[in-house]
Amino acid sequence: MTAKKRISLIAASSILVGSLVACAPQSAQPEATEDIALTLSTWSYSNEFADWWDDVIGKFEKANPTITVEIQQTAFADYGSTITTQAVAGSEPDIIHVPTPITTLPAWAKAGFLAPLDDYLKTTDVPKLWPAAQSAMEWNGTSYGVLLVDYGYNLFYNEALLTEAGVGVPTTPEELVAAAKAVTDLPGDEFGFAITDDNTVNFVRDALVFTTGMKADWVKDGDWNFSDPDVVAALDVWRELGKKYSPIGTNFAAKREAFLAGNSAMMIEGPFYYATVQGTADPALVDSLKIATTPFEVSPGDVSHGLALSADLDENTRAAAEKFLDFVTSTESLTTYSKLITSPTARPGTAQSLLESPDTAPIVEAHEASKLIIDPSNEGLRSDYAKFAEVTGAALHSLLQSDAPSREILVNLDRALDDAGLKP
Amino acid sequence: MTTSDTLTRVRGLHTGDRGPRAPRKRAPRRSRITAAAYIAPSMIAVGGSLVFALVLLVGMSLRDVSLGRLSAIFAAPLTLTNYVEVLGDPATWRSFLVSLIYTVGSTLLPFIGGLMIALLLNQRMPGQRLLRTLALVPWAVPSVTATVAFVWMMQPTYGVWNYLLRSVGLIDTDVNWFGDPNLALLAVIIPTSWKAIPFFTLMLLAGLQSLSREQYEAAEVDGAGRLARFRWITLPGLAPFILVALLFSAMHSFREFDFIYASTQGGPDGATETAAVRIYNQAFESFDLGNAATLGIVTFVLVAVLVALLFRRLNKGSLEGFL
Repeated sequence: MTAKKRISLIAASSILVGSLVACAPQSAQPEATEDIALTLSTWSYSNEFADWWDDVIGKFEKANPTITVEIQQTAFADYGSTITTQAVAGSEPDIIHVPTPITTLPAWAKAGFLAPLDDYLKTTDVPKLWPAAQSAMEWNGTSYGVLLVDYGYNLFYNEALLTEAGVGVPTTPEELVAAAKAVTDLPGDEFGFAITDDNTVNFVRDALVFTTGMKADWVKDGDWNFSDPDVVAALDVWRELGKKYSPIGTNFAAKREAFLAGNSAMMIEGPFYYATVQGTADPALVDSLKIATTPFEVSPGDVSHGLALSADLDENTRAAAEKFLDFVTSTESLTTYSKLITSPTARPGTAQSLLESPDTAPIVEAHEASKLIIDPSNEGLRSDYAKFAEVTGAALHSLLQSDAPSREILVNLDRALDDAGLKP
Repeated sequence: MTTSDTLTRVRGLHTGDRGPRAPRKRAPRRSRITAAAYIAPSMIAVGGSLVFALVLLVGMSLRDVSLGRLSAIFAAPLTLTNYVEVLGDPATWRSFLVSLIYTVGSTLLPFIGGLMIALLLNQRMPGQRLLRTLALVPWAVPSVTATVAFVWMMQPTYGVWNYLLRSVGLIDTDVNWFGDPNLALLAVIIPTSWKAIPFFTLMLLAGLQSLSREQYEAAEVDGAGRLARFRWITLPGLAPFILVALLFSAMHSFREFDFIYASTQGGPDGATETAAVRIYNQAFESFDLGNAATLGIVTFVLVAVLVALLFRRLNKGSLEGFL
């Protein structure tokens, strides 16, 4: 070996060894201390949500002077990747706010990032009082978190536009289509409805609101059932609204903006958006922007905001984190949540304040009758949701962009899901 | 001297016909050690982090574990399963094809635009300095801001693009730029190209200013027209600048993520899923880090081979074949 080659080899080895030594995890021996600092990750530390977190954490720290809770805020768009990266490196926060538990929780639970909480939950009233939607926090028969919020979708409508079009608030799918048509036919540029029409998972969920609402099961006996006549009929309603009476290419922000600005008369959204409407809509419009239950036989529902614990907590930190879960899921905390966010919660009876106003009563009505748009027992779908959303999204885009018969597209969708090796 | 003689002589200046090279003078040993000592800390920091990341990626790609703690991933047995899966997956090759089209499109379009602007700004005119500064503005706009602006401008119903196209009668129904699988790739190439134009402008303007006026005067005396002067003097003179700019821009475009993910997330139906976006989707949408790491390694090797080939060509100094 020449001297030059030897020097190169030594240099390369030094760089490699140096970098590996520098990046190797240090053995962490926790110091014995009475004070415990919990870390909590969330994407929701803003606006009304920030008020709620501040309220809950302030009261918790006052009641537990030796425990502090530090919020780690990450933008929603980066939230999943940030927590995943942290967890792979073993540096995830102690308490993890789980977004869209139906789809995110399985991956984190399977990877061993989350602590099983069955023993803890047995000491609480969650198993007794929580709705069936708590099963969204389960994976493979084990509970990995506590659900904070489940809700029914609401119909948001612009009363002035509906009145101008000479129609009332729709209560059936047929009335919904007729009302959307009537507004779109007005002389102005307004649309009757607004859907999410982008490439995100929201696109698929928006359409599934219609199938659940119209009692159409796209999973039957463990197989895909999109070609079922009921599913075809439900998606035909969505297709007609999306193709004829909605602006196109609207992501969820543009859809909401179209409603807020008075460019679309109706949309279906989660109830938490009502507070935003009240806080940000043009003062000249805000009195016209109202909510009702969705015009379906079944109230389509969803889950949001679950809390889980890191699988690597030591005994003391785990005990402190469980205390925090007790506090967050208390009647007091969730009642405050309901008031500030104008949303129902998973604890029964906490949304009573919403019934006091006719404007917000439909939020509670929709919640009480709600059925999840994705059944948490569909573990195959939950396990590979990204692929499901990609394949289903392609078919739904075809419904909006082509003139092919709905049934033909949906028969192909059933086949494509099978071909992709997906099982519900 | 004929026009042909002049042009041949001029071409020789730019095509590697340099004659015998003078022997290089070696710096004193002490100077070399001092220089090495100065650059060692940054080399160790940058090189170390790169090597560590690469070692980590290779290690993950050789384990059949989708997601887990690093300790669990590295405790798994070595296997080539991920490579078999990734290389056998048609979606991998589709993402490379999308990457290729995206890279070519978002390199050639700004090159043409940048060349035209550079030629314009190389002329003496009033307000030349101001125009040169303005030409750099797209470069200064943060990617996220540019993405948001383009997403709104190209919004099918409310965006200004479709409004303008409707106004001049080019379309009668709204075009769904980011939602139509046939148009989405073009739609993401446009903003990337817009942002890359100043880079080409700057590089090529620097190249134009390094060209000798005497060559143009000699060619003019010999009766060469504007087109001939551009073909035989400007283009060969700019060749090194063009190649370096194309190479850098292509490498940047190949790994571009911000514009595409923020506007289409790789959809619809995979139409804009470049290798970079697919790696992200595999890691953080499908939660398959092993697969994502493998795709990352395959992409790295492909790009490294391509860049090595191009640099080899550049180092040989033979640019004749390119222009």
